[in-house]
Amino acid sequence: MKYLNIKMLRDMKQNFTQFIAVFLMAAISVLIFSGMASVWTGLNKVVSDEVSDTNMADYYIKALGITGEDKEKLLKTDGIDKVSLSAEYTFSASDGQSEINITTVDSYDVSSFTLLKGKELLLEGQGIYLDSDYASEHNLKTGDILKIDNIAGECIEIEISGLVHSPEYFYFTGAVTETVPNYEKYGYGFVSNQTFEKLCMQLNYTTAKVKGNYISETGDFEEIFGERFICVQDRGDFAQYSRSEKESSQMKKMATLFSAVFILLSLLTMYTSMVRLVDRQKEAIGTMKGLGVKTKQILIHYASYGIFVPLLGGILGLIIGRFTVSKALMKVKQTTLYLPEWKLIHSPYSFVLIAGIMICCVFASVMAAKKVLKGNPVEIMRGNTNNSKMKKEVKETSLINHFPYGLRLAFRNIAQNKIRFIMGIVGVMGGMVLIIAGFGVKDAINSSNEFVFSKQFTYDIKGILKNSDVELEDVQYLYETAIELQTADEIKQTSLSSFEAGEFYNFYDNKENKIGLPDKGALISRHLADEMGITAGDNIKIRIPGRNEWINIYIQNTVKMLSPQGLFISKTALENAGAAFKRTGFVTDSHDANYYSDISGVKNVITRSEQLENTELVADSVMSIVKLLIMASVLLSVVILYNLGILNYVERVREYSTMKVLGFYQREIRSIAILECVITTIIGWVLGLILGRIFLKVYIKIISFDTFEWLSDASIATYVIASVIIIGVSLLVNLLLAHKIRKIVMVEALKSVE
Amino acid sequence: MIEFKNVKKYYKMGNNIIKAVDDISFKIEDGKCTVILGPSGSGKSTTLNLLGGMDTVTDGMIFLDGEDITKLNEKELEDYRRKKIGFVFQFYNLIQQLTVRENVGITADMVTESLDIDEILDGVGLKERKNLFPQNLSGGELQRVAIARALVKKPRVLLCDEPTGALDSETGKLILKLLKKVSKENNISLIIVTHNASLEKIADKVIRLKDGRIVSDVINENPLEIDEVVW
Ligand SMILES: Nc1ncnc2c1ncn2[C@@H]1O[C@H](COP(=O)(O)OP(=O)(O)O)[C@@H](O)[C@H]1O
Ligand SMILES: [Mg+2]
Repeated sequence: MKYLNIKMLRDMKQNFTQFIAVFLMAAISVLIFSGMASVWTGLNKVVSDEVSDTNMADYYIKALGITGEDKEKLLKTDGIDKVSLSAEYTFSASDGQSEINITTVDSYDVSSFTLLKGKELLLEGQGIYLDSDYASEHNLKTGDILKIDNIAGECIEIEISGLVHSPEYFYFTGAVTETVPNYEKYGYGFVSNQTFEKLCMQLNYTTAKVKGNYISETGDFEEIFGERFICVQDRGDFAQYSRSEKESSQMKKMATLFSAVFILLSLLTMYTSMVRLVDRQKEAIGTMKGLGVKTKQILIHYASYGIFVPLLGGILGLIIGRFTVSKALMKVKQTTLYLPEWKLIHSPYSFVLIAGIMICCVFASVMAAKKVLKGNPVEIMRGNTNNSKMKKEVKETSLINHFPYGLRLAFRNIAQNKIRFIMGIVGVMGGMVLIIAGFGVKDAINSSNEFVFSKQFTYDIKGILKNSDVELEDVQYLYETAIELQTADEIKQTSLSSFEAGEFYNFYDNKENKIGLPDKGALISRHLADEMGITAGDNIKIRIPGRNEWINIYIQNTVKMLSPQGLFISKTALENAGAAFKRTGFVTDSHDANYYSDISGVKNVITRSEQLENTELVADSVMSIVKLLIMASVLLSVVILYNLGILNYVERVREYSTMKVLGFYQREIRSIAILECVITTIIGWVLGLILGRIFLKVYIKIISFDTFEWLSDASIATYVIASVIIIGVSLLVNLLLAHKIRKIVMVEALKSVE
Repeated sequence: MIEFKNVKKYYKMGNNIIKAVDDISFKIEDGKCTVILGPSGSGKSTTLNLLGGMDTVTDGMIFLDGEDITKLNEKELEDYRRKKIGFVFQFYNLIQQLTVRENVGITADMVTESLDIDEILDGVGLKERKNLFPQNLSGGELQRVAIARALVKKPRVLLCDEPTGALDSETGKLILKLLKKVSKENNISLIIVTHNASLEKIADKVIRLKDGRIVSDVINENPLEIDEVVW
């Protein structure tokens, strides 16, 4: 066995390209997948740890003025184990620069929080437990004084008792107008009942946080709370928390789908490389067999090729992935999620992947060796096992006689090496698909944001009102609320936007023709409509929180509204349907943002360009992963094409040197040598264009959230770039081969065979 | 007329210098059959390869029709091989994915004035086999294809390195007969390299090599017909 090991090292030197191809493929696949997987595995772990450490609620029951008595009744309900009552209100910091969402609770039985700094977690006390991200952004620490305006506008000073984090604020944007967390402007905190009363002048619990496996059935609660009941939400509907789950699963889908294509390509390459490698060892195998080495030993010897190379590659990928892909991805996720800490944990699937790659390689080499071993030693040594599958004869009348010799050669080579041909096509195609998908995601984000913030919305400023009786000049009032939407088949939480007359919201049909907001019935965003099977002309029911009855709504049309997803209805139509229009916000293009934010009834304002910037921030961070994916794809294509090119070259080198001796010009040999590669590239390229388009559509669909419809048309530039890259890589490989052909030493090449 | 003038070919192997061809000079007249004879490793193939423009000399000059081919650059050597040289190898070196006819055809396309492919194939006795692939042919047949391929572009010189080395003696004789016949018909200088001493009787000229040096260089006034030679 020792000699076989020495032999292995020597083989590695001789078949460097193949080994490197297998090694790189394994490394890249593992790098991409494990790099991403360890982020979401870490994220899931941190989330689930904190959820269980803080005993986070399973359900949130919203009602007005929840009392101790109500709590007793709740605790008696089947399936409810623990209840905490909470009240919350958002106050301005005294400098007017930021807002803090403050909660008080009657107990920490359910939904407590993680104390990151500070002595202990007290229910009573004078201080505030402040969101640690807000604190660090504002240079605040335990013991500092926080100044907050109470509801009457007086400045209240509160000492910071500790810095905390809560899983209920994983995705906390502070205001519905914002799409990414902004620690500078928004924070949260917990205070005692006493302190809350100082701030709010009163204490009315409005949420009962419930632990238990209560099955959603609102009847019981209506019985307990009567008219005061608003709604019940489970943890999954609670966006501030569930965004973390969604992001994690989005990441998972994005990585898995991308890696799947990737891994498939690598496996194919590794498989063919291993087969090829062993195939070239015919002589050695024959000799070993002739010398009496046991078949089993020979098989083990070749199996070990399939173990070590991918194992080393996989481990390298695992290590590098942690410093590149994981780091980049984590950075992206940090822009949207508040987590007490970020951890990278290797996913078990990464190890499964490495094992899978090894199995594939071992299988390939053993199968190939077995095939070779079938013959007798002498036959094997003389290379007589390659039963070339050339047809016996070519008919005089055959169509092929009209082709140039180079093409005939290429066609027959292809026919003889179908698997390799298909591999090549798949390689080029896969590279195209991945690159199109990578750049396509960028296009999708850009074009979607562009559509939302320049076609859908044309206001300059959007504001949220503190209360609905504010009177402003030159504005279009909005009523935005969460609703339950019911069809014959299902109920779903979504949003309703209602508008007074105005032109700052624009609606388009699928062909991008403008549609006015009708006086009767509502418009529905097409993504939601698809999801729920709603079409124009349907009647659906909606329920607004705080009101118990279902309201019938006629669907006038579906519209291309990317975000928000939900119903859009004019004030008239809403009132005709029997619901009240409550001003919750406004849009306008007169005055500037400061003018409105200084008005006391206005909670906050944001400009359209700020909104666009927010989304671009997200887009930019997504791009950093996409860039990695693209780089990996390019590398993958290089390896696949180069590997194929080399395989081709090595097999033909004797023919090429014969041709050289016979007096063929360099370019003649080159054109014959690259013809097959060119055919492969062209077919793979065309298929890649088509499949890339389809893959991108599916990909976008899978990774998008249900609150935002992403457009999935890649720009022409994306297709051009992908084509240039792939064709460029193919050309480069050909150049390398041409160089090799030029360097052929005729005498040597002819001699080596004997 | 072919002339070697003090030709040397040294190979460097680590610290050793191998003198594959060590200062040889000889002349070969046009249209004659020359046999280069010598034991294995004596420098026969090297000599042939130098003449074929496949390898460059360490020192010395090689003339073909008065032109010193050691002065040619890579591009000119390509043309030289293309237009003047025909090569027949011990192991045929046919392109497996091309039929007999195509193997000859692809070479015929290289020059402007080639012989007729089908006529040549008839001449080497492959009329019936021309649409077959090499894998379906016997060794003798393969060598015939190789000869047809070398001849079709009407070379000045036909170089054969152990053309019968892989064949049984009967087939070998037929191949030699064919080589002599076609080269005579087309006035091509035929140079055969071999370690088989029985071939010396059929040549117009015999050059014996040993350790890269010429041992003897004799003209055979009465070459025998191949059938007369005892193998
Ligand atoms: N490319 C090369 N590198 C090093 N040595 C070589 C090379 N080609 C030939 N030789 C050596 O030169 C000598 C003559 O070789 P060759 O011409 O092939 O002999 P022959 O054809 O008579 O058997 C041998 O010793 C051989 O090992
Ligand atoms: Mg030799």
